[in-house]
Amino acid sequence: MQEDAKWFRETFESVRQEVARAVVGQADIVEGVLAGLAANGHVLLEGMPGLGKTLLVRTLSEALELGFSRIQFTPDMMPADVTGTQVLGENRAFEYRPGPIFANIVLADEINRATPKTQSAMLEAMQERAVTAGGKRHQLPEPFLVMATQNPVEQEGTYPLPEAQLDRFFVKLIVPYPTKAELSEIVLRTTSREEVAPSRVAGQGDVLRMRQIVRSVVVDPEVLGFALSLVVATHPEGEGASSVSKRYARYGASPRGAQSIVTLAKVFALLSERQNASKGDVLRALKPTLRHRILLNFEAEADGITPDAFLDSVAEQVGKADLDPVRI
Amino acid sequence: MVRAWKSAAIGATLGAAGAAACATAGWLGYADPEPIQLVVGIAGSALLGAVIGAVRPVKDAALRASVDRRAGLENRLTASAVDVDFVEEIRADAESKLANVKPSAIYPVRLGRWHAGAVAATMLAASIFLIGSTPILLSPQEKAARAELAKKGKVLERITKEAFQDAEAEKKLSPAERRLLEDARRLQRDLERNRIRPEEALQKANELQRKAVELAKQGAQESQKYLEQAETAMEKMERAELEKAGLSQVSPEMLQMPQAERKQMQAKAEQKLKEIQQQLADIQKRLDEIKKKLEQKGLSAEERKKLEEEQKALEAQKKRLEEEAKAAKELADALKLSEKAKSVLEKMRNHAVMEEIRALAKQMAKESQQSAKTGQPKLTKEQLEELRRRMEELLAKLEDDAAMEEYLKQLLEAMKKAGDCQGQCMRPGGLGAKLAALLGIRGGPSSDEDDNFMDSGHVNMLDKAVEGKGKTFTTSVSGTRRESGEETFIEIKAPTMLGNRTSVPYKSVLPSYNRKAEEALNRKEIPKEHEKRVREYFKSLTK
Repeated sequence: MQEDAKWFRETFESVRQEVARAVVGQADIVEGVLAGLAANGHVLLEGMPGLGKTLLVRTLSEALELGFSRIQFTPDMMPADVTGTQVLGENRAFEYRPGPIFANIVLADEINRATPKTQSAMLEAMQERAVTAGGKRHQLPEPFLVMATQNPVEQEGTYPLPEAQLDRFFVKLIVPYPTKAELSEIVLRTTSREEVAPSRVAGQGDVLRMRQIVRSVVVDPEVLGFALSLVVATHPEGEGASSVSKRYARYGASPRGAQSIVTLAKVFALLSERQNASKGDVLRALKPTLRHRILLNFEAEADGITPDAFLDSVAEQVGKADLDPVRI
Repeated sequence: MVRAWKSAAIGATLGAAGAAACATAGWLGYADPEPIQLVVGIAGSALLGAVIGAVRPVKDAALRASVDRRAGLENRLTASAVDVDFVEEIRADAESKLANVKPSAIYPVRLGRWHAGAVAATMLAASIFLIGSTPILLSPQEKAARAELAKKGKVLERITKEAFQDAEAEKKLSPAERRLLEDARRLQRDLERNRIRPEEALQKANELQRKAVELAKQGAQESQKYLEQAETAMEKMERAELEKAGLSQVSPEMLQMPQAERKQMQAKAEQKLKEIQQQLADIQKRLDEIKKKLEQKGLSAEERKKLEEEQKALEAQKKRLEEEAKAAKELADALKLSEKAKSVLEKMRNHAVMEEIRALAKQMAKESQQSAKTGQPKLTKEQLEELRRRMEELLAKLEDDAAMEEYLKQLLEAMKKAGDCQGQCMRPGGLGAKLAALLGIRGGPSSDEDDNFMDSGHVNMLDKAVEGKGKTFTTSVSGTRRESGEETFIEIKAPTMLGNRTSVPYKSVLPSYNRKAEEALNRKEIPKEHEKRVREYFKSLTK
């Protein structure tokens, strides 16, 4: 297992470095996307347009030699435009023509511009990892990762994803605006004659092996209890509810959130070449995995409480209650 | 060790908090803690805490989690307890990380919040104790008054130490005497620490003196009772001696008669015996005659009846005389034997041991009578101890004689009862008397200068001025009391200044004081009852 952990970290690092050759900065986002890929979870990105999301996904697919497709969602897009459609073939028989979702890495750009009907089709496919058309089920390729983006600025003519749909994403990453130095690097790199062509550093099999290794990481009862305390503390009701959630939360994180936080903690443990997840890993995984799974109330909105601030408060309270069992 | 260190600090903090509470109670007069008691309390709590911290068990899981947390092992130790295939690898990983960790680094012996708390609480307790025991915050007048009280406290301490020089003596005290001693010591400490007002000290001293005299009298009465029992036992012993010599008919009273009187009495008894014997012979002769006449025939019924009645009367007289003769004979015999009996008893009484016993008994009886009258016998502690020792020796010598033993036991008991006070409650320099003298009880002796606490305890009606020894200070309370209001007061007809004598002639100031009081009564709004009380007070002074 120690060897596996070492291999995981090295592979992960090599992919990250390869992506970093093309994508300037955004280290946390790259790490989050890779973690989602390794943990078999989908990623929701929220950020301004033009921050390199497409470049990131394309580079990633090239580095891993995986199939890539990009879907730009628009209000007039139909489910079949995503999942595929039946067409009359040369032999006068209907043939299924797979949609853009049939790729290893799918960039679902501005998913909130699609109608709920199209969104549902997309999200169902994400969940089932298969598409049913003409009474026939078509399995999506493995590995399969959807990286959806939301534009937080333009709200007119959009259909924000409902909470139940958001819960299907493994993590939600906030793409920050690049720093001045990063911006300078981006400008120089994209306006020069020199183009960066990512090379393959890992393959489909490596991704699948990474997923197996992630599942092997040990989560001891102490750490598991801590993670569950965090999840429970996001709920406004119940025994473990924190005071901040009682005040600001409308709904807490779902059980899928608990699964996600533990899984991401495992990935982080492997990145430290550890065979066990720690409380530190859980805390690190807290915001990416839960920020889109909690629903704050009006008071939180009025007080300017963001999900991240809310989760920081929850972590602080749970951390205070998590005392050293040997009091000296 | 680290847990013991912290638990000791917790214990010390709690102990110091308790000590602070005790010191506060002491300051307010509800308790009387000694510094050593406070120190022992804090140290004991710390030690107890250390022991609890050292022996309290720690669960393995808790220890793993704690080490993980403190050493930054990122849950490697807790994960090493999970049952998985590669658990050995996890353990090896944990051990490799743990190898670089020093126990002293993750569980450092350092001063924490509890230690700071212990120090703070100890300082607080010490501060409260010192402030309560020292006159730092007092005005010069109050300091002077306290110094005076403390001086009296020292005197009282010396008296109690004189009375009880060793712990052995204290052990022999009765519960009542022990309470008295405790009260005296408490008063002494209150005086030394200035936790008592002079008026209150006077009241307490009065009470102590009353109890001391009462105890002394009780002791004397018990001693008297035992001596009386001893006298009875002595009589029994003498009778026993006479019986042993076959002289049981000789009464001790006879032996106490002068010889001439006894001889005269013996002669009288013998003379009376002769007379009775003569009378008996005459009666017998007459009875024989009557018997013969009654046997003759030809007597009339009337004559026979007359003779029979005479015979009956003579028989009765004969019987009475025979009894008298017997008594007279016994008396005469006894008187005859009394010389012998006397020599027997004198031999016993002149025995060296008995002479000593009698001397001791005489001394004890005298002391007992004296103490019953005044409560202050003159036997010293050393004398009582010597008497007791001698009595025990005598008991050992004469233990084979049951009566003697009883006598000695009774006497010894009486001596013990008298001696158990060790003189402190009976002798003139004893605790009760000293207390009375020290605190100015009326009638109490005041032989040395320490004994002047508040003059004589009554109004000094001297016509001549006497120079005062201290300074006067008064406290006035402003306000108006309504008719329905309540008040408590202590009327002390004595100078209310500590250690002062009146410094002006009493008669010269009384009229002016009386006038001022009347003016004040007319001018101020004073309750009627209070007015009455003031007028009665001045009236009593002019009597």
